[in-house]
Amino acid sequence: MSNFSNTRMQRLYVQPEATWAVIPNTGGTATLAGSNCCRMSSLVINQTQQEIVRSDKTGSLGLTMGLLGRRAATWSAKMSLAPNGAAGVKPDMDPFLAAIMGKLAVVNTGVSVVYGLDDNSPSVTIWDFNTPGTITQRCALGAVASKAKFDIGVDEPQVEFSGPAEAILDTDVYATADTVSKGGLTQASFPTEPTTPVTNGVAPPGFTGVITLDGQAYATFRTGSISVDVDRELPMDGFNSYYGLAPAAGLRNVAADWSMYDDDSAVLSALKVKAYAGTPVNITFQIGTVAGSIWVFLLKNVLLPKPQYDLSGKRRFVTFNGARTHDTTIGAKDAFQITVQ
Amino acid sequence: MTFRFLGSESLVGDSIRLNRFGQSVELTEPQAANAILGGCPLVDDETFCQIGFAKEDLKKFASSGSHGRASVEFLEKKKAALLTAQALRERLESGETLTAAEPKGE
Repeated sequence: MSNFSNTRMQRLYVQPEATWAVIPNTGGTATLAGSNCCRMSSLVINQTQQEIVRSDKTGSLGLTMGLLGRRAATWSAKMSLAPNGAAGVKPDMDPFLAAIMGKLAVVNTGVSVVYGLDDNSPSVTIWDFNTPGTITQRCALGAVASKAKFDIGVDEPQVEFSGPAEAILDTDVYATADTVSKGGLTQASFPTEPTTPVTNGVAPPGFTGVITLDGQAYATFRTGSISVDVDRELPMDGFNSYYGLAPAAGLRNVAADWSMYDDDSAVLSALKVKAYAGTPVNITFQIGTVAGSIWVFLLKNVLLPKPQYDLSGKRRFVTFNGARTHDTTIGAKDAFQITVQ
Repeated sequence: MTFRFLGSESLVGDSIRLNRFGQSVELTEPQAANAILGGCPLVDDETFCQIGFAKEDLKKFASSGSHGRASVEFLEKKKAALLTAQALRERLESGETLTAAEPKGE
């Protein structure tokens, strides 16, 4: 009798790749370990391969068999904003954060972990293990992050990362996979799940912390989000390649949306004036209040959109949608920073 | 080997759940190395005891959520423990074994 798989019985492991699309390995054997585990609420990896349909007429309306085209892969992973729990220790999602931000974090031991922006495209190998172990197990290699979205102000703050990957390797095709899909592995069979996964930290309540808009702390903040779009892709038009080419990156675009209660305070009025005048402001969203479990999102040189008023509830809201960050100077790469402290 | 936990919550495999500051846990060397490399903030029991946390403080501040109310003295000791844990992690990352990384007696 065959076995089914319960969707809750899934684990994600993520490893930074030293070389794009090469699964971390020693002598062809994957170096995957329990220490690479990261809790998540959703992991989706997919590979597609379109049929190249011959356009020539046959004198019939029937479709003739085409050829297999290029192989494209995508991934997305969603997880609670769980820091490590100990200040100055990287969160389990560190490889994803480094992948979206473009460089490794700076660790200030015992104090904080800081993620700044850069122009690089670090890649990761994402492992998708499910129970029972006899069901198809997969990994996405050469995965780069193109988008991330962070929740602000909700009960369980979450982040979702997504992007393209070079290939998907799995237990079904391992024996016959080509060298690109094998990503440098030469071991006899697909790696098995580590026996002792290690995961750390608990997301802070997303409605606790400090919201600072243009230097003023606001207790009237409701909810919001930060969208990071770094426009990375694996170009799918390389000659003699069924797979994507090495990562290409476009314009970085970091923007925040949020809703807050409207009031007649002088500080909020001044903020609205800046929105109309196009005066850039700095914004800090701090989630959490306990050292080791605090996220600080710093958005610099934010051009505020025009305030929109929402009368759908009992109390009037004012919303700012698409508040975009900017580098201080060309090449400063300081438009956005994440600190876990 | 006996270790003490310094974080908010860590799961090591299916059976070990650490969620109290200063929680004592027995781990084999491979288990401990895997946990520490996986970001689990642990220090060896000997070092933890040397730092000198008061028993009442460990009871009072067992939950990391309560550390916002802790005394400066407790927080300084916590930071010292975290620095030791980080140093231990770095030594393991550089390829040392846990036995080699253990503090030497006088």
